[in-house]
Amino acid sequence: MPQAHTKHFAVIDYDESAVLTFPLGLPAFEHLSRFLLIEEPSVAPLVFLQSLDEGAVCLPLLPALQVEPDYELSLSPDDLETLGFTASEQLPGENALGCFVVITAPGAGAVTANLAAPVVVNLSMRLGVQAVRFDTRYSYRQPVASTTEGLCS
Amino acid sequence: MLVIRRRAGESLLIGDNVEIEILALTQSYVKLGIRAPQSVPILRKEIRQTYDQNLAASNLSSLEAVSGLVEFLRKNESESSNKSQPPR
Repeated sequence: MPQAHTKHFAVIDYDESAVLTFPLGLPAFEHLSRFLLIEEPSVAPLVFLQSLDEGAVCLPLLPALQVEPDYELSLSPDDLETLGFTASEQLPGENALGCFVVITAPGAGAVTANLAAPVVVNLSMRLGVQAVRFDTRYSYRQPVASTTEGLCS
Repeated sequence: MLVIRRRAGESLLIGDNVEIEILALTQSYVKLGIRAPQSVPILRKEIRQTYDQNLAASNLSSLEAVSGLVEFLRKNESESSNKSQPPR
């Protein structure tokens, strides 16, 4: 079984079928395409998008709906294509996609989520894209908690 | 901020090497054509913002930095699930 050197979880075994391919990488990490979604009970509901190509690159994520219960996903034709859906095909059902937002936790400042660019994953084909929205409906620095109480530990 | 009024088909120059042409206008968007040397990076602003956020997110030094957040999210979750339970 192949092993991954992770940023926060030391060395872990993984199954090749669990690998997510981001054909375009992610903004700032365009050169990285292979990732693992690490769901570790001790940090749930946070999950981590760990690069397999560069161990130091690991992004904390939350399910979009956890941050914004009414979040509405909007995917461009290019994003859909990256996720393996062709224009003629039926649009993916909700169960076929995972939708996460990147969490930024600077030192003592507020924890924010980038709702303007969700990380969308085609769960069956194991393809992913960070779908940067064209509209300005959601903030790229949405405070995760309405109160910062309990966030400063 | 410098504000310039232009019509479709007109263009403007920035420095010696960059030209921006207004190609088309609709009610909701404007289509721009940009002529610039390869060395000039051109990015949609929202991609730049996500670029910066991704870099910052990846700089998380340790899981301890998010332990407070995890605690808060769990507290929130259990509170909302308590609320959804019928009163006894």
